[in-house]
Amino acid sequence: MSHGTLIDPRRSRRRALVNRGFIVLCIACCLVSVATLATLLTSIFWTGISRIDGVDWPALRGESVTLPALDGTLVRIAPDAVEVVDELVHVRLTGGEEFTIRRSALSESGGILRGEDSFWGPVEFTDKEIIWRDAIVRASTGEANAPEVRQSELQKRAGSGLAARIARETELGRFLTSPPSRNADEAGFMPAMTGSMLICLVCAVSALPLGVGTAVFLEEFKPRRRWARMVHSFSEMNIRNLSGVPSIVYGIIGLTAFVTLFGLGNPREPFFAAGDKDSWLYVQLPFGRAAIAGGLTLMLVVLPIIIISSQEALRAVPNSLREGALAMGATRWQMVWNMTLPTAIPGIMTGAILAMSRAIGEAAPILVIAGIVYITWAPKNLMDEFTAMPLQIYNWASRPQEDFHSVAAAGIIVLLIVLLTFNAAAVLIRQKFQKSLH
Amino acid sequence: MTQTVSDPHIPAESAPRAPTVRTRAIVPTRPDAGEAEASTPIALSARGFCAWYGSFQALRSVDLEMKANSVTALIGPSGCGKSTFLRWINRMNDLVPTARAEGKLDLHGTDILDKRFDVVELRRRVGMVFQKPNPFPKSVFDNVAFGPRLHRRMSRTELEELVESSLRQAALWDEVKDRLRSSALGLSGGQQQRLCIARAVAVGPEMLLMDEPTSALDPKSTARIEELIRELRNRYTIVIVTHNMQQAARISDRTAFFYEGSLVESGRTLDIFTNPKDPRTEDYVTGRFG
Repeated sequence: MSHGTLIDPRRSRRRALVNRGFIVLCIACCLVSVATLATLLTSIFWTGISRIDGVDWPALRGESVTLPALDGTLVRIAPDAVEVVDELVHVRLTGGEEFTIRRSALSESGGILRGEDSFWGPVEFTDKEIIWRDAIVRASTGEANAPEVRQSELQKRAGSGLAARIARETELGRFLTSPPSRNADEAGFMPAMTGSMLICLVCAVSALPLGVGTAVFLEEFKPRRRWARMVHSFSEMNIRNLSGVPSIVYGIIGLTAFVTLFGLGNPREPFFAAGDKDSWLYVQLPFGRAAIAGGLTLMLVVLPIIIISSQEALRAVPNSLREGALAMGATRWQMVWNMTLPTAIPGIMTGAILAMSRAIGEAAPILVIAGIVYITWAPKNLMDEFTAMPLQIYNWASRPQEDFHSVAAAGIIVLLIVLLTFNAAAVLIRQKFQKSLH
Repeated sequence: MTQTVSDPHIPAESAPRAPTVRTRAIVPTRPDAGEAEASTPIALSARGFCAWYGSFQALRSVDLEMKANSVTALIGPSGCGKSTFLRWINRMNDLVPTARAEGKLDLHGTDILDKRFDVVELRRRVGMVFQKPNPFPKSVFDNVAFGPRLHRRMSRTELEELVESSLRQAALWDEVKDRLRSSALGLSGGQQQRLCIARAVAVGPEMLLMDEPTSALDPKSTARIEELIRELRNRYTIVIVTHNMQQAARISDRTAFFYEGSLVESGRTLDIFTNPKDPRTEDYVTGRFG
């Protein structure tokens, strides 16, 4: 048969068409997912950035104005004092002062009052405005340079109905260090962050040894007997199934197992308690809706993930290394401890970090354990009530007031930054150790 | 039947340290080896040794003796069971879940197939070098020190001496003495294989098993390994599996020919290559099949 009979021009044209169509389809899919991600991030960023950055972007829509002053402090002016007409922002203070600035002057990093001679954009100052500005400048640079206008006077003005509030710290710092509040402007993330850190710590400390140990057993100590092999592969299969169980189910298990200790006791009247209730070392049984119960529940959620990723990492260790170690008279344990585990540690760490980033973003099981609670303090000890970042975000986002939605968005930004840090650490570890693995 | 094959691996003048006269024919290069044989003790003897993988019988009733401080070559076509036999000598086949064996395999009079036999101690006494060099992803020093550290707590100086002497035995010291701290994966293939030999030697074995140690190496590295095997023969009992008949002829004192799971013929290398009793052996060593 000659080659000529194999080539059908119609078929090859169709083949090329299908090929090109497939590539176009792939690119389209990529674009859609990138666009979705970009939309999500931008919307969160634009909603939440004001609570972190201090420049009130929604203010430009005529709601309120935040003006950064010379030393980075903020002057926030209530929405009812602001009127936006096209490119101009009219601010009428209740004391009677008025001034107008251009919207472009409220640029993202500068602001009109940063430094006496570094203005962003063309700004026409009225006399009143200059007085107002000078007052802030003098107040922030200290009395010595400004004997005639004192800080107290500024505060008096504010108190006398200037309707301008002076925030004494930057927005990010305030957001990260203050407790949640009924007032959106004062709401902070601190208890949720410490709570999340605490439960993640409990989760990591409990899940890592358990998960890696299980993976080592499953991968390195395969039994030889027939029935033992069956038990072995049965448990392996079950662990794989567990990784697909919805996390809310783990929440229910955690509620039963850790909060009430299978109903053995009432958390409010623990049958065992040791130490002072306010000290770090306080322990009680059952745990109640405590941080340790949340952490252990998260452990249940991430355990299958850690086991499976550690198994993959161990499987990636070439068998020749195991044989080499055994051939020199290593026991199985020595082989695992001195050869397999050190070689697999980068992979195990990567999996563990990714599992932790799953744990820190997990809301459902924590919701079951902690409930929707209004907690304004950081947990005092592992037995204390707690809240976590996803819960707090959920709490804020479900409120009807629009202001709280931007607070929720700010919380999401913090959570995303934590997650991205985790993932970046995983990538770095993988890259750093990749060279040593052949 | 003689077949003249020029040795492609070593030019005669490049091997001045070889203790024996080299010939260019595929003829054993140690014709004197047989003389001392009668008095040397038997290191390993197999009697009625059978091995299975699941239901597949890989070895049928092998009877073979190996003299101490000699080189025994196991030859035969692929799948004939020679590697299986080798891997049973230090029980590496324990790692294969379906592998089992029957019969007797005595190392200095103790049956190593005995369930109560300490496999870890066996593997310390019987070192193994694999087909593909498998240096650990550690430094050269740590590669050699790995084995000794498993068995005994040693002082730094003691360990350094041991590493040096092991590397010297493997004829690698001069090449790596300045890079002991750098990764062993940076060595060339031949150096890696000699490092594996140094590693095996470092735990003080009495026997070395080599599973086609040169099949992944270039001719020059192969020549160095062969030279090394000739030097190590005085201290260790060496069993080597090889596909290269010239190699078997060059370095071994005794040769065993396996075919389809059975030991067809074994004896002095000279006899196997020049005067085989079995026609299958003759066909194989003359290159008619395999």
